[in-house]
Amino acid sequence: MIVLVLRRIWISTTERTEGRIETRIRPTVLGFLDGDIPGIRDLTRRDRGVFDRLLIRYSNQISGSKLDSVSQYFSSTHEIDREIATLLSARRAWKRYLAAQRLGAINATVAGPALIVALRDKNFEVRRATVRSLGRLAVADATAGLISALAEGRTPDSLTLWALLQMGAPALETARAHLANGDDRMKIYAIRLVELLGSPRDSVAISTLVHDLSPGVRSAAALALGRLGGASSLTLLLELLEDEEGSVRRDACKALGRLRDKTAIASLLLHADTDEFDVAMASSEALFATDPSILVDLDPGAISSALMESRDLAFIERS
Amino acid sequence: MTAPLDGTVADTDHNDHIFTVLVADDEPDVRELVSYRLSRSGYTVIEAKDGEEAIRLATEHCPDCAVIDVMMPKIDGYEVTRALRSDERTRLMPILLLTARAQESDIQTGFDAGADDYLKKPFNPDELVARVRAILSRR
Amino acid sequence: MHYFFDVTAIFTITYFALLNGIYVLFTLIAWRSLSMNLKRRNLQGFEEPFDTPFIPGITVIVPAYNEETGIVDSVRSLVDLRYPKFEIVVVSDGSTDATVERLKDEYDLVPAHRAARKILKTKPIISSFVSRHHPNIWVIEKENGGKADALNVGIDVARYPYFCAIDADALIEPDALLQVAAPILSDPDRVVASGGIVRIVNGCTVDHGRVVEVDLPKSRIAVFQVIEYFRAFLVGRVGWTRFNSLLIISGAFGLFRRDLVTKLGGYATDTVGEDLELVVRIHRYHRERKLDYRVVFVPGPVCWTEAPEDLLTLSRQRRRWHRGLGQTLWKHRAALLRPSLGALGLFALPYFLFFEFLGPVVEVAGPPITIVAFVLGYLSVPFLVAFIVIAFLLGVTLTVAALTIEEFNFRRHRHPRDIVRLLAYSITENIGYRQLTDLWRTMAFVDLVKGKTEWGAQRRRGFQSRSS
Repeated sequence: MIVLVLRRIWISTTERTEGRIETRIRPTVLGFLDGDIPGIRDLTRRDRGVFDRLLIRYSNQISGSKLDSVSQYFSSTHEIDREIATLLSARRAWKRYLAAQRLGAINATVAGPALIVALRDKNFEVRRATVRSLGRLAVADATAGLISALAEGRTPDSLTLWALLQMGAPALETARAHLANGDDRMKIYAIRLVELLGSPRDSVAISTLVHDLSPGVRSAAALALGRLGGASSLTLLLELLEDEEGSVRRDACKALGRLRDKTAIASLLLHADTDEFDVAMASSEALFATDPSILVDLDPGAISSALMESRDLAFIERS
Repeated sequence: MTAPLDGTVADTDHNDHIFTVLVADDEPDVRELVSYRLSRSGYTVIEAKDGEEAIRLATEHCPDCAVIDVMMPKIDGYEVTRALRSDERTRLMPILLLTARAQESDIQTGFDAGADDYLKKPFNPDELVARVRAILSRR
Repeated sequence: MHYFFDVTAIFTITYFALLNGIYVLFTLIAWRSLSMNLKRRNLQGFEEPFDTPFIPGITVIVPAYNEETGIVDSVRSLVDLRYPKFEIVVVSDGSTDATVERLKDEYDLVPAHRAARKILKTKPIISSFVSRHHPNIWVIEKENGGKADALNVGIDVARYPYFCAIDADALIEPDALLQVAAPILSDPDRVVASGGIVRIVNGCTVDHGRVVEVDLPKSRIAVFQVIEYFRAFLVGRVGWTRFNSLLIISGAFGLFRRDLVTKLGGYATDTVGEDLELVVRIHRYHRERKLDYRVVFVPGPVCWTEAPEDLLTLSRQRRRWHRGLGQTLWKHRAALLRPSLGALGLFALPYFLFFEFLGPVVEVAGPPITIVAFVLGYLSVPFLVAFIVIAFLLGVTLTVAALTIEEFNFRRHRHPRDIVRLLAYSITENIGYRQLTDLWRTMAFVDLVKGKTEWGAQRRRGFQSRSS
């Protein structure tokens, strides 16, 4: 009990002192980020600690060339080397975890190779932090490592895909190659990456997947076509509206909502009246996105619940 | 006033008018960074820590432009933009939105609300200054 | 006669040893488990990347009945949630006050039909509204049918693959949704439900739906509850998660996979503890089919709730909770002690039956039996004294341990003097307060045997910026 109270008092006082130091040092940190490097020479050890923390906090908010000076600074204090060593060889998982986090925070692009190795760390949290940092640093070389982590399920999908998105072109290249992957799950990830990174030209490659055996792949292909556009996308999506799987029909509707092509309206109206809620909802929303005025003319007594909602929203939008 | 470090000319127009910029963000770190960078480039900065304050300060002080974070408590950046656009005093104020979210729909919402430009977070401070300069010169 | 007291003595000691053994075990688990959390908190500003398009959407469902005093603040806190894809659906369960009116004013609501799947059987929807400025805020008015029914309506109209059930008088912190969704994001195939921590808002300063200062309540009764909640959440739930037998995802703040709950038929409208009952059903469903799944407690995300400050409301609340527990245990009695259900059948359910449900009865029966034994001369006084002292010390130690966990890991209270006050109260909690709650729970036990099922009215104070 006494420990608790004493500890608390100690923490309060420390916080207050550090708060004061922080206020004093803040201009130095900001100046440093602005290129005013010599200004940091007069810092005491205690100041340094606060300086480092503030610097990391600020660097989390910014991007661009300013971050190079941050990594140079931490490189000069050998912080980066220390963190890399910790990441690769510390025994306690939480230490490796912290190292993985910090390397991303201090913009240590030189730590790329070490982080890639850490994608195979024993501990899940460490791997997750590693992916986050790789994404933050946009380490292009990590593309292959991330893809394999994805394939083996070593890291959370959503985070790994996000990291790959940050890589840009190299990720797009790899994704295109994986469109022909044997594993459905990977195919779907590849389609999603191409969807977000690619251009209308890619719709050609995606269109072959529209007839894939797996409904998940067909769904992903539909959504991708919706976003990418391309000459034959409309026809293919209208075709997918008749797919045997409800989830694929639903996603085809969503994709049509992105394309906003008015020639799809007739088909969408048909599907908006079905009993399958998800499909009806998706096509109603697609109709709303494409041309709300169509909805206004519908007879409220004769349409599905989903269409009624979109119709009401169309009225509200008008007023 | 000290010369800005990025080597550009201080941003004043021919009449030596010093532009005022309103910076609204609930993250104190972001406010500090942006304010610092803008003042170093020759602007006067007013800070707001949430949407409500942003609207109040904008209508009271009529700054020359506003840099607004989208994700703020109470009233978000889109709301602020709409509010400023519907007020006579601030209808023409150039507005730059800052946000961590950058999906198409979010960008569209921003422009629909009346914003002039949009910058993703984490942002490049130099680019921020460049964009501010750009939207100020356009109006 | 002699035998009776011997047996009772042995029974009491065993009971006591087992219960506290479990508490100690859980405290240790919690300590280890949360130390990783501690390291994580030291890093600032390194959040989950926000602009990923791969995050599943969440429908936040707010069942409300006559919540005019606090509903606007509550919804405000929800609007502030930092999550890329979510909608808010307030379901007014036939409120007779100005709940919906207040929302209409605040959010410029206009009538709009809301599409419903009509898979779950619920009382009918009367009308629905959407906010003109916040198209992701919907308010649905339905015929009165109880909280579970209101939640089911929410689930039936939910647009996204996950739903988060939040109490109408609760305030959620902006990062809470993302944090409670984190386990699901990490492992979407296995994690089907997660819950956060519920803390007591009495005494805290609230501004526009945000808790800006954490202080202890002035009311003694509320402080006791603060302590109780720390014990229950930081020790209890962390422990149960470890065995994948977390039975309580607080009704105030829980995240679930929508299609799963729909498949299971939604919340049960015939019990008072619908949140507990649903979670037990989720566990049974997966364990009976040997499916790989997880139900997780996340200690970080906070939901602030108002604690009753008068004995009458508190007693009603505790009796209701206990009735809910009893009803759920009875409903799922077939799962008790079933080896095929693993930790659920062999550990969690029996624990809740013997220690949580029947426990208060034992503790209430203790003093009278002791007195009788004493009067009849069967009792050795030193033994009794030793027992009482040990029980007391153990109780206090465990409570302090829970407080320590809170201190080391979360440190939300601003003033050191709050810690002192909490420590002081953790001593007195064992003298009087605990016995009182045991008494009420025993009364609930009796009620259950007699067969009561309604909710009972609650006095609301609402959220205003206040310091009392």
